[in-house]
Amino acid sequence: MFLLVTAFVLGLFPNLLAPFTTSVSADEAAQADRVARRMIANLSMPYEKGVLNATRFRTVLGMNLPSLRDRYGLPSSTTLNVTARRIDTPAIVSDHGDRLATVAAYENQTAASEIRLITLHNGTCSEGCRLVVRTW
Amino acid sequence: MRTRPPSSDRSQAFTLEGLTASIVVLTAVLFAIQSLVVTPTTGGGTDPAVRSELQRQATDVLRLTAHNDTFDLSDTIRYWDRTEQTFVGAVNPRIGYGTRRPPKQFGYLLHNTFTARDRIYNVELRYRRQNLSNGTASYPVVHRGTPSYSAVSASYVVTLYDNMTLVGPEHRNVELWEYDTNATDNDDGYYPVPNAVPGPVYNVVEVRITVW
Repeated sequence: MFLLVTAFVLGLFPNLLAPFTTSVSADEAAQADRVARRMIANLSMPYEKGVLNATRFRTVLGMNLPSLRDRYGLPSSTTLNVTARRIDTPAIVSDHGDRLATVAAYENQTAASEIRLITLHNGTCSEGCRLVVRTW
Repeated sequence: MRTRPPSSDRSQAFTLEGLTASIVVLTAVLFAIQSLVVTPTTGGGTDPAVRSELQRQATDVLRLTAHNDTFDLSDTIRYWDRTEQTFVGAVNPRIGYGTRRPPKQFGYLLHNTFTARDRIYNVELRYRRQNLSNGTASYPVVHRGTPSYSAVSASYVVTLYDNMTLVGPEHRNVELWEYDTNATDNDDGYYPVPNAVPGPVYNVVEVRITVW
């Protein structure tokens, strides 16, 4: 009888039995932060932090996932997605016909994200774009 | 059938009572579990990660504006309206731009980074007084209220030189050192930042964004 009652009460609150949604861990947040920081530090024009060299930025975004993990020291279990988006809409920016996004698509996974503001030296994003780094 | 214990009918009532009582107790336990505040970071505004991200973005806004080729941060703080005695397009000297958007890229970035995401910001200038021993004074560029306890701030330092001019639409080619900081005497132009340093430097102005 006790089991019946327990089952009934739990049935009243089904979300108590639902699997825990994996929350973003501090590791992933720190990874996203670190990747964004290093991208801005390494790809900026001399003396103009935040103004990225468009050619080098495109090269980095064009790398495959293992190379990106290697470059930013991420564990092999981590997936990384980097995009440059317009600042007023979520649309991904293109530069010379290339979408400024990495290969691993982000499909609404639970991910840590870091948003920084950048611009490119060749006039793309002259008003500023958002650099969105997601790790999961 | 009188041998049967008289309590057999009541046992069903006891069972039902036990069932009801356990429902009550378990519901209370569930309620208590769900109302627990699990971490001190539950409120979005006070989450340390959110705050440090806001601070990085505020720094990015200042840095990107400072690197703008056509209208940089120094131009933004010299975008002065001589007749209104405040910034061009601002509401009044007390609240600066207030709820309006600051000009050009600075305002564009601030609006899309913070206002569009339900954040509130203040921007103020902090500069040396004419007499250096009097420390710093501040002047509001955008004043939207008193920051909450979870506010973060970022700042960027801009150096003004004596031979710079104001850049408002009606500016004349008058260099900064010719302005004075007396708003009421109607003689030359008025600009709140004084000439604090003898020599080519006019003043060193900290542009500070406070976001919450």
